Amino acid sequence: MKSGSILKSDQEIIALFFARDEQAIRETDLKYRSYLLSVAKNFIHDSEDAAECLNDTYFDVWQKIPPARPSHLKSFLAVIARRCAIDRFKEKTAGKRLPPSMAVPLSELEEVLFHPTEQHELLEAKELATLISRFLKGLPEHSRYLFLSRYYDGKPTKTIAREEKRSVSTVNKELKKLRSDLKDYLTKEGYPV
Amino acid sequence: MKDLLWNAIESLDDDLLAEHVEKRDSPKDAAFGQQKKGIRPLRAALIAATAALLSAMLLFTLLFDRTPYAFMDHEGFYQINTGNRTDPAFRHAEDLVTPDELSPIPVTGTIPESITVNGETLAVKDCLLHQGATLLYGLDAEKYTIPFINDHTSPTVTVDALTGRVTGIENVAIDHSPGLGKTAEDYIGYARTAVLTYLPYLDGEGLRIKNYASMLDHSSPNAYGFILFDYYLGDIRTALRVSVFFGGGTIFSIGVYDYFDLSSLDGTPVIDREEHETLLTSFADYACGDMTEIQKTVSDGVLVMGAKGRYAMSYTMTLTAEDPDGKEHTQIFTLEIELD
Repeated sequence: MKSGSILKSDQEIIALFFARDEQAIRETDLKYRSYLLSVAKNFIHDSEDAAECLNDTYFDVWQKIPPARPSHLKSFLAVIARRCAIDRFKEKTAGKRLPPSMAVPLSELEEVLFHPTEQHELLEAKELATLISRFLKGLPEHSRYLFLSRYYDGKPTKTIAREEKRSVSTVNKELKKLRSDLKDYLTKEGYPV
Repeated sequence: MKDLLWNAIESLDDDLLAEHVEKRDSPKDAAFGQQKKGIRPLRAALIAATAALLSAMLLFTLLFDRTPYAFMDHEGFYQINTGNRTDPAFRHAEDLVTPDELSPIPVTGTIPESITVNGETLAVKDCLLHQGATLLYGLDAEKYTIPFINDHTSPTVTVDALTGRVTGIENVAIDHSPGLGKTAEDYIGYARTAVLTYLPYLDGEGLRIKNYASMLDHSSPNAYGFILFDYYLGDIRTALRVSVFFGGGTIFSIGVYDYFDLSSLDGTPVIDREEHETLLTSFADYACGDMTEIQKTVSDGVLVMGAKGRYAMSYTMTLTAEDPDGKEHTQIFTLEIELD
């Protein structure tokens, strides 16, 4: 952000999106470019790729707002930017696509949700995402936060425990319960686990 | 299957994720994302009381303390002095925290095997690294902790309450690694991780982070390592300074002096290895002079440091050892971080 520039509020920017005014993109870029570049750089380290990722982000946001009306624009943008960055990361690292920080958390989910002999290749990630989203929305706030800290942010349980001022074993226990609840939920919804 | 799960997690509902990111990145002072509402009156009163107490302690220290001390000047060099403390900005680090204010944080790695008590080397029985209370004086900013860097540290980020911009990062990638023989590259690696981790939180163009990493010789079993940042947000220069480092009667304050120009965001050091060596030499000449003499000066294990600033955090390491008579001895070493 350059000193002296007058930035629009998030609400004003969202209003521009709703009015389909392309100024919305320019204002978003002015206000959040550095931040979004930083988010993207967590996954892709090439400046050119990051800049392209930013364009993808703006395009995606343009498609999503409206109808979406995010209550926290910055975080909303961060989610989209992260997703775009991950897509590029996957393109760039085909064959070795999973960031190391996510490997262990996802193994935990995998262990509970999938039997190795089952055939799940045909399942759609989108379908699973919709079900998990519904499951998460039904959880108490702190459980949802815990789940996403582990499986979206990829934080080690030790870190979560320290942040939440709880013991590691308590956090592990809660996560185990959440995984088990998720399994029950998916089973109930007819998802093959 | 992991890919499927990862895709699914990344495709979760936008609002759900945005809400989570918001909560995660907002100031927290309690479990599960409960957000601060600002500096409350009680907290403000506590801050004022702390400031008053610190002033009194500082005055006392200035008047009565005659211990040697070390500090880092504004160019990032260390100076070591003995005798009277003349600069009012300097304080006795050990005065800043009391054991009750400390909460243990996990320590990994090798702890010192021995401490020196009255000239005798005793085996260390126990080691506890404390995170000291953060002392905030008159700073109109929120503070909160952002998770992760390494197992040794709990970084704190200061955010301007009005603008939401990050104005300070402290306790980043501090590594207590006595005797581990870590290399400069190790510390710089930590710094790079820290920098890249924190970039999302640094909002502003023209960001430049100057990183200083200190590597200790590790000839001293009680030595500390540390890293600190100077960074720039546009025209605003905010410097974070850390100093420390002696324990148990020896000083090995060898500074590796490293800059990352992060305008390119790739974390490439702009000073090469050869320049590091030159800086190391000049540092040693400048700050320490005759190293042996300095070691003698602090042979009682005195640890004092200071830096100009309005804001400090201390780390204290307590080592416990038992002498042949079964009597327990403890030595406390303190690390203090200040923001000026």
